[in-house]
Amino acid sequence: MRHLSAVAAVADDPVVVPGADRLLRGADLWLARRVDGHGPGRHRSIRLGEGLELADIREYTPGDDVRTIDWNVTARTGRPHVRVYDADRDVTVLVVADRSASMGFGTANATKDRLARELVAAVAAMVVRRGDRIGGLLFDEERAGGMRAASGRRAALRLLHAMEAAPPKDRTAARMDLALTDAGRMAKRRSVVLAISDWIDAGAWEEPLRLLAYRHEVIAAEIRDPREDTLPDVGTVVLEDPETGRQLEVDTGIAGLREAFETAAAQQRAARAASFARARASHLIVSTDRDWRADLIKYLTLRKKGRR
Amino acid sequence: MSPLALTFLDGGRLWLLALLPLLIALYVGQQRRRRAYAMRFTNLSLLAAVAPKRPGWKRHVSAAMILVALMLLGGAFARPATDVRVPRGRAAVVLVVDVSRSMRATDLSPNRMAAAKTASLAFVDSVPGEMELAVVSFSNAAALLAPITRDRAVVRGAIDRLEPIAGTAMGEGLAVALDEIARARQAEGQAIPASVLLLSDGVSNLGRPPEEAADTATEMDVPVYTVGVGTEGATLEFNGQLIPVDVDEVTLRAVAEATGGEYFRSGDTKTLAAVYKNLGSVLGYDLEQREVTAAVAGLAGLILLGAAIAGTLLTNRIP
Repeated sequence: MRHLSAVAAVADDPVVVPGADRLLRGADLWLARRVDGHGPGRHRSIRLGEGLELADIREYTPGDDVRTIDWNVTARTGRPHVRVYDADRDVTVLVVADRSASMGFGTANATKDRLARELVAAVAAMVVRRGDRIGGLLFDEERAGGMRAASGRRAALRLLHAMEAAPPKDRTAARMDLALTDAGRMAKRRSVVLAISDWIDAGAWEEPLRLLAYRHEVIAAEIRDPREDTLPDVGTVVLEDPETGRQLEVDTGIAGLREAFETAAAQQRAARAASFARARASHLIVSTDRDWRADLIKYLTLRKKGRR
Repeated sequence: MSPLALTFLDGGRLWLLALLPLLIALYVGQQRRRRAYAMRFTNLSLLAAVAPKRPGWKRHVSAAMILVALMLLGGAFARPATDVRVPRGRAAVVLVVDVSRSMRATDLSPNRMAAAKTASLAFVDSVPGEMELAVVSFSNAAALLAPITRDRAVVRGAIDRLEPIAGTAMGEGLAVALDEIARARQAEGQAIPASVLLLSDGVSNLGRPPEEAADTATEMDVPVYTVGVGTEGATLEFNGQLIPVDVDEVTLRAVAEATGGEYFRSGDTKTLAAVYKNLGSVLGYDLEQREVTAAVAGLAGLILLGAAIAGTLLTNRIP
């Protein structure tokens, strides 16, 4: 049955492949289990971005609905004011995904790429449920693929498939700065931008990120791997940077070196977090050695609380 | 020849060492080449910032030791041998000393006679105890002062008693020495290897000519080592007259060459002693080639062991 549907799907739309399909279905099932047990409706539970957007607070003019009066502002100014909302519009999620070589790395439960795709699938499942729109921009040294935002399950699958079709390539370095600039150009409407990368050696991305966050709601998803923060004691080894091909022979037997590396990595992480904060992007951290779903839920819950 | 001078009994096998540069080239090439077994590591630039610039020389210690060990093994394959001084078993040396009047000349300090005595005693000290010595002096006639004996006291006493007298009967001195050797050989019943060490400072002017005695020495297979003492143009005041006391180099050299010995010239006390000492080791010891393959191979083994330890301790691998 599943096989038949897959064939039918392929015949229907050549971009749809079972891999992306299964990913999305898995995410949807997880979301259903996670969400439908709580709360009254699917829409209100877990989502990215606000459906209702505050457009303006202006003085009351006759004819306005008295229910929209903002009493706080009215009291402060002495004159009646009303809150004006945009209609309950759909949210556009733009995924900016790093497809450089370092994303093919992973030493714990999965590669960073796998994690990135699962994360995108989860977000896509949320988007599909809400009837929102999702688009994508894949980047390594340059644009490696992308698709305009569209609504529906097919759009989600297309994005997932695009990621599958452009796996992390060796000898490609991430240029998140270019990717974020490009995303700003691509997103016409105010969108939620989900930028997924390890943010290591990803170019001078802070300024483009800040500019992007000025207009859009930016979520900087940082995918970590434990091996990027610590060195194991395995004697002298030759290490190679998959992005540059640079090789380095290090003696990991030196305890001082391992400590120095750990300290430097901690500083690197702190600097990254500070950059995100300065750019006013919210920061989502997932790691290959942790349950990314739990991290995502925690992030979304905290974010919701932070809003109120 | 220094004792470390190596010769190879199978020198042709040393060609094997020509493979070593190949090995070195391979190693250097390997260092230059990109490592195929590199591990992926994404945070490399951060690590590079904190890591020291490669372990440097440590990486090459064990490789260098292996190279040295291979070199030694290659050398051992060619069966290296070294010259060893082996004390001569049974051998006799007759010291023949000129005690002519001219030995009083003071061109050597304090005079030729004293210098000759000192040098002779040094010679006695430098030969191995197994050696048998005899002392003959000649002037107007020759005299056997000490017969061929192992008793060093006798020999030393004879040398101490040497005093300058008159003429130079060099041929007679040689003849007495050869007679003594012949007597000793007859007594032993076998031809003991023997040589004569002749010291003279003048021209033979009495008795039979030295060349005749040299012929006998050649027949007896006794090499005669000759030492000429005195500076060139030295004179001696005798009865109010200055007499030239020059060494008869021509005769001494001829005698030495005819008998298979060697001629030395000495113009001062120091070189005279050196000449005697050197003769002591030449006459007292045989140079023998001894194969040292096992020692070299053992050393190579030790160095290989060191290489393994160094590789394990320094770089966690054996290259």
